[in-house]
Amino acid sequence: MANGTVETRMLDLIEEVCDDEVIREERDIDLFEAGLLDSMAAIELLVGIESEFGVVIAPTAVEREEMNSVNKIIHQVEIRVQG
Amino acid sequence: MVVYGHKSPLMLVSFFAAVKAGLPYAPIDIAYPADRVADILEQIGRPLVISLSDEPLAADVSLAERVLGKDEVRTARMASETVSEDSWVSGDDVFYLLFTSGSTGRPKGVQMPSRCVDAFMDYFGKLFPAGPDRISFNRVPYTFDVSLFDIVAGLSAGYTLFALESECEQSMSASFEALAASDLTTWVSTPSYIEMCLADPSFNAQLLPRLDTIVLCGEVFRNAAASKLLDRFPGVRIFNTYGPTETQAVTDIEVTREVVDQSNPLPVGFLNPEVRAVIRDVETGDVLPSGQMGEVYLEGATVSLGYFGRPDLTEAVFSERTRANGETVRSYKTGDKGYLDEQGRLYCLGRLDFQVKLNGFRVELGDVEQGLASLPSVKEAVVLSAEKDGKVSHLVAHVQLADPAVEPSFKRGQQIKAELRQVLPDYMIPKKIVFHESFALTVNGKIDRKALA
Repeated sequence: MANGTVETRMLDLIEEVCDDEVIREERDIDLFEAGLLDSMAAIELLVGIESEFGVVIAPTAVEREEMNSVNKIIHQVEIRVQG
Repeated sequence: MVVYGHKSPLMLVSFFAAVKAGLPYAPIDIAYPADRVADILEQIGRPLVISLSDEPLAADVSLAERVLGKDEVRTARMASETVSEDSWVSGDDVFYLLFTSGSTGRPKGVQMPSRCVDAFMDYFGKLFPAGPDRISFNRVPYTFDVSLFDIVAGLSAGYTLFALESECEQSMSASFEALAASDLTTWVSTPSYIEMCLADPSFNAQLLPRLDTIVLCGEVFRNAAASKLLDRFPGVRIFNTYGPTETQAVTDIEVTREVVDQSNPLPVGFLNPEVRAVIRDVETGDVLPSGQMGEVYLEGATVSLGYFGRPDLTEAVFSERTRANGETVRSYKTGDKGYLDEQGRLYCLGRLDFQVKLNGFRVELGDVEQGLASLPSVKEAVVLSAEKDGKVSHLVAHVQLADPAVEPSFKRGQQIKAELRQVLPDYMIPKKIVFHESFALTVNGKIDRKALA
């Protein structure tokens, strides 16, 4: 699977969960601090990642700091898709 | 008496000290911004404050008659004088005061008298059977009525309450570690929280081997989540319950596989025998037969006295009704839309007004709109809720800026959110801010909310 594809699909998914297209530009902001993600939405994102990529990231397997920005979230998915 | 803090044994000690001294208690969570804390203190009128937080009280101390800290509570506890039962709160005396979101932008204090707490304790005693080393998960902050299941019915049956430290709540792995070591027998939370836990495959009977009862309250419990819970916790009894802060929980039902297969949405349950649900036509107020949808009115033993210091708000939704047998009961107009089935099970299908349940938190959209409108940069604001799979997922604020020359931007939105956090608790902050140059109006000259949805 090409990297670009993961990125595009992830951006769509994150936009849907955060309900804001701003995430396409602001890829390094802390989504929790910006109020675009909360613990409930973060779980929704993990569930979305599983159904979209078949990649299971258990909520207890990642800490908030590892998945608090768009780039970090994409990274977490990429390392699992490639691995 | 106000008890300020977050999940600590000393808070519980202070609650019971208050009621034994004949004083009602009002919990205030440290997560509340200074404005809200000040508003509550002002409404009560210079109360005695017991501040158990490590941080100082988030409001001017002159709003309190006196502020006592941890050390004073510990010292008082050591004295261990017994208080005569004559001085305890009883009957119509207010036992607790819970402040909930108000549509006009000010929190309103629901006054629950002692006799209602007694009735609630008797009713929910069945979910908390006595036994050796019973431990209940007191997950919800004390400011919400769901926390009262195990505080009232659990503690009185000898249960130990288990809570998560707030640092621990931030991390799922830390929460799960704490849960694994908890020895819980009884789980009490909102459906949202347990759905969140269910997203992790390790949330199952192996994690909580002693668990035998799950009690859910505060918002819609979805079939998919119920079905998953039944799979993950075989043999554990799962209860769906319902009730606004104004009456405490008044229904319950054991959610079995059969119930999940037969009804979608799930019923919220059978009524407390001391409480009756009456379904009335929204327009005419006529009582409707079973199966017909209308507004849910609750009548009976746990209906509270109304809102503290607000007879206007109280009269709008509370009343006395005389039953056919001549008995007078107190009635509360819930604003919930619902119906009773042939078996007498109540179903709730949303609201008739602008109140929403967001992750179990009760939010008046008007409260958030007032908060936004109080900011100098905002001219007007409309707040709507966004839904996903039959449940509110987040709030969206539609904002018209005071200065038309100001360019709307992501940064501007972030600034508004930051300012809003000074006046509203975090759970009320809209996720999304949409800027408008103007709002479309309805024929009546009001902002057209439907056009924004």
